[in-house]
Amino acid sequence: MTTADDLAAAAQRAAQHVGPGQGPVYGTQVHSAFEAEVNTLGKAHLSTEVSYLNGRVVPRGAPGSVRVDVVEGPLTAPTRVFDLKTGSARLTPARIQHIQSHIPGGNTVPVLEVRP
Amino acid sequence: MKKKDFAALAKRLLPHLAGFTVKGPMLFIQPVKHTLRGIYFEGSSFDARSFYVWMFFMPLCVPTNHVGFNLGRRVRGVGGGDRWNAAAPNLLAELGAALKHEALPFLGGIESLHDVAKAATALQTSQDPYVQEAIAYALARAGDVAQAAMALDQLVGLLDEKVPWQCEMADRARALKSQIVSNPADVQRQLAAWEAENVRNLGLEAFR
Repeated sequence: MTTADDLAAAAQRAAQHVGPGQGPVYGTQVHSAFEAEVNTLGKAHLSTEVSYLNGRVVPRGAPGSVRVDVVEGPLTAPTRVFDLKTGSARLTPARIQHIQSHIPGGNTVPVLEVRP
Repeated sequence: MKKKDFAALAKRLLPHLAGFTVKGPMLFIQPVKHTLRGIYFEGSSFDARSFYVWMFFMPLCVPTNHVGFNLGRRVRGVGGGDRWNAAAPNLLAELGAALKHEALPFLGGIESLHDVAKAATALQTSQDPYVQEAIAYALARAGDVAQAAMALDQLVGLLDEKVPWQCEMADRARALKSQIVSNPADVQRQLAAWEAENVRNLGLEAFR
């Protein structure tokens, strides 16, 4: 299975675990379950909840930083970044651009949507 | 978890970590001289009990406003996952063992500024400008003019100056490079000033 397949399956399991729903609370619950699923995969090339600021890996909540759901590859040289979306939420070009403006590698690193 | 929870956890881990002290969500080797060598607890939005653990070092002569982890990595558990749970029954034993096994060898070998440059070079597998900047500035602070000048050139070569933060990094590197040969004493003063500023910004004055 590819990383994308693994993450799609993790998102499916997360959504099944949480059950049906909608809105921001539901989204948060699915995110939490998704991240637990990814962590359970135990894959060393995947990291969840990483914050970046101007190409730098920083602690959660650093002013101006962006926090991404899943990073594939080394944290200082990600190969791909995955953003989980639920319901009607979409990964917009503006969000992609914002993430790419802070991650190492900038716009050469694909930012991809994961959906249950 | 909140900062006070992390501080409490850090204090309970201290017996595993000789030479470390605690400040908020961070454990670090004291005294802090030219380099911060630490372990940082970072909260997760997964739930109130989950958290991540970073081991990292950073030469303090590189201007910054934040702790950064480019010279470091997350501490992973035996299962390979990188998230820890404060409610896990064996947390202290497992995390203590992981820190002893991973963080102590990683951080303990970094004593001098040349050690910083060497350890950073070992991590420089992805042309990361922050890692290259640490190498260059550590060498400059160590007074190794020729190697520092070369490392500064390499740093500028990595940067895309259309990006504002990279442009700023390049300008600073070029300014340092232009002075390092002609006026090394001024460079030392500048690096010492940045070091002192970072110590203030990071609240480390009492731990020097």
